[in-house]
Amino acid sequence: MRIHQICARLKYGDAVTNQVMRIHEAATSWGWESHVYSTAHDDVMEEVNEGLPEYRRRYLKNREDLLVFHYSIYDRNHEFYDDSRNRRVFYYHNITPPEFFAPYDAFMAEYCRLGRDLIPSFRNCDFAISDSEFNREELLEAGFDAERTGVVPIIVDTGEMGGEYNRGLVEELSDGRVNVLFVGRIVPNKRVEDVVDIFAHYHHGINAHSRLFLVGTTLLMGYNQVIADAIYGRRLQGRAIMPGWPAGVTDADLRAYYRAAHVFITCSMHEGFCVPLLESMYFGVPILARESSAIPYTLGGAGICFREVDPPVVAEAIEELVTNEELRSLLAARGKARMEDFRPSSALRTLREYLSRFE
Amino acid sequence: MILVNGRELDEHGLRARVKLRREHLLYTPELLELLDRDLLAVMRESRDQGFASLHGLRRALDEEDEEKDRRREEGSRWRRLVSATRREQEEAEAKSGEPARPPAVLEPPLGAGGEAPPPQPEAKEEKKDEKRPPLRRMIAHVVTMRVVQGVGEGYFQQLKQFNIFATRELEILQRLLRSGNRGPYPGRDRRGGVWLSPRPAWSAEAARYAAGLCGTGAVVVGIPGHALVEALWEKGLLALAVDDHARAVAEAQSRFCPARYHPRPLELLEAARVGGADLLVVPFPECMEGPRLEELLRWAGRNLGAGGRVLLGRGGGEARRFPYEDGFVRFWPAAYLRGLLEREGFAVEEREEAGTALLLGEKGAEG
Repeated sequence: MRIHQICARLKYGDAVTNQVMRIHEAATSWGWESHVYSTAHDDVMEEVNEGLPEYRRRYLKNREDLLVFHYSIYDRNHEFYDDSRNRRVFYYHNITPPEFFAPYDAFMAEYCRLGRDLIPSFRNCDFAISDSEFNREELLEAGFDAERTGVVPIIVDTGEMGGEYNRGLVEELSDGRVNVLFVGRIVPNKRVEDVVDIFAHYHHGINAHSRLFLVGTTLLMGYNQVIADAIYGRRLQGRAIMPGWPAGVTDADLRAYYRAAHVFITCSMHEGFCVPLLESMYFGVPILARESSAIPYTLGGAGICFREVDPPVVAEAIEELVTNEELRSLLAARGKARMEDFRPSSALRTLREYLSRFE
Repeated sequence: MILVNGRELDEHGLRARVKLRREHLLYTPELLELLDRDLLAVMRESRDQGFASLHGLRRALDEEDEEKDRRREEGSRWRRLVSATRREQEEAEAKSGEPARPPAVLEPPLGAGGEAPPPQPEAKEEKKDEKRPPLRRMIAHVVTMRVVQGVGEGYFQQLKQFNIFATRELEILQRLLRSGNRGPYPGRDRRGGVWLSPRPAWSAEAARYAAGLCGTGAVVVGIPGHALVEALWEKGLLALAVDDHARAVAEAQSRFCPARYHPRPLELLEAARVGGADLLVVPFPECMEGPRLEELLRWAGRNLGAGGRVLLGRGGGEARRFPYEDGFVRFWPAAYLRGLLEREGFAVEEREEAGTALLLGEKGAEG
């Protein structure tokens, strides 16, 4: 069988790109002919992208071929999906609702709105895959046929997580202070300001020997300002730190932050999957997360969820997670067990089951 | 609601803890104000300032644009004037059959026959440029204009580039300004000089006052500069000075005072079996965690006899600068410290000596 994958951009390290590449590798290993196309790519992915014109010229009208269309942001490349005569699989990675971006970036908000408005137009696909149950529910709300939808979780390479880490940084961070960690893009839907608020209560009220690391890339100047103001307004200078600002940290440093962390916290209001939860599970870091969007699905009980942000109470929960060894061990064990559900082999098996119906 | 695997995780317990902390004044009014502060106003203020800076920059760029257009327009006018003049000159030459004299504005200093005319009295006042032939003058002017335009263009491009990165730069600048405490936040003056401030030290007067309270021997937990240990040491009253701050210990030792470094002072006190002391000085109780502080004061209750005193520093005034330094824990409310002392049988009195706020506990005869 010949399989084509189309996505908006191929960017090294990006979650959707990783998923595309895992599927590409798996399809090749199954003896299928696999091709990848995107509207844009970075230097690393240049060789992978065969170019959408090539797809149009050679494969667009092949009725026997299979097209997997990855959808994570609005892009004009949906025209290739519309024109394609292949059997079509719509792979939904979720698009952030525009209201989160509206106060900070009208352009981004408009792109999100366009992207979400377009979702119902993909109902005519032969099959729809999403990477979490939450995303699947969104598809059902958009009118997709439940019988022709399925879930294939993000394929996370645990081998990569166990890679080299910055040992010096781990030593530096293991100085007796409590390290509270947030990992993710610093964008409005992640509600990083809530994390800062909670940490302010923890730091000022419970344990001053603590610090917060906000690890991730930034996107919006206006929102960066909000976070900076939250940090200064709560008098957390030097206690709430954004390492590698604004471009984020290296993989080796990220692994070091996980290794040195005592608690992972996220207050995100909207997640399509939330890979950092899996990373925290891998490193045995207890998780404290807002019960929203795909988080409870991904967490699967391997962490503490809170529905409303009551900073003093959640701060007490951090203290509980830091000091209650029994609870930490329990959550670590549950995290390891939950990781098994996301093993690449089981995700790829499910994916093959879905795609094999087109063989 | 806090859930673990779908079940409540003792949420009531967590709420009870919050309540307990509030009741024990661990959330001071100042802290509550800080934590409950409406950040929207702060954000709005700083955002407005950012927009104002951007607006100013934009206006400067627009003015630069206008200036550039004006220069360009002037350049064109001058070129038009030169070409019109040359045209007229050529027409005059064609009519008369001999070279015409250029107009006054382009008048060369040479005569029609190419011989130098006799020097005129006003010729001395003519500019050197005006002595050149018209073509050379024109070329020189064009070259000058090109250079000016080129420099202007480069400057303009630099400004544009600056404009592209202006937002980023502004953000970084704001961060730098704030870290230098010149940011737009209230209370910045009070926090001035925080970043490089040394550990707060007691003045000589405060040190003398503390030394005056001691009769037989003093234990100092936390060294507030060399004045106190020196005053006690000179009187032969320093039983032990201990700190978990290596620099403070080193400074005291450099003045030959018996200071010791230990991360857990109480353990050292127990191990050293310090006896006969009648004064315990704890200049920085805010650097001690609650249980440790309680244990230390319990030790004082057990080991200081009748008339024994405990002197606690209060983290107010100058010591407000202290929170930013490593090792800071928290400023304990006076009520809490007073309660701890009273529990150990000390009568408590608040004092201020040489600008240092103190809490003095004195053990009665019955204690």
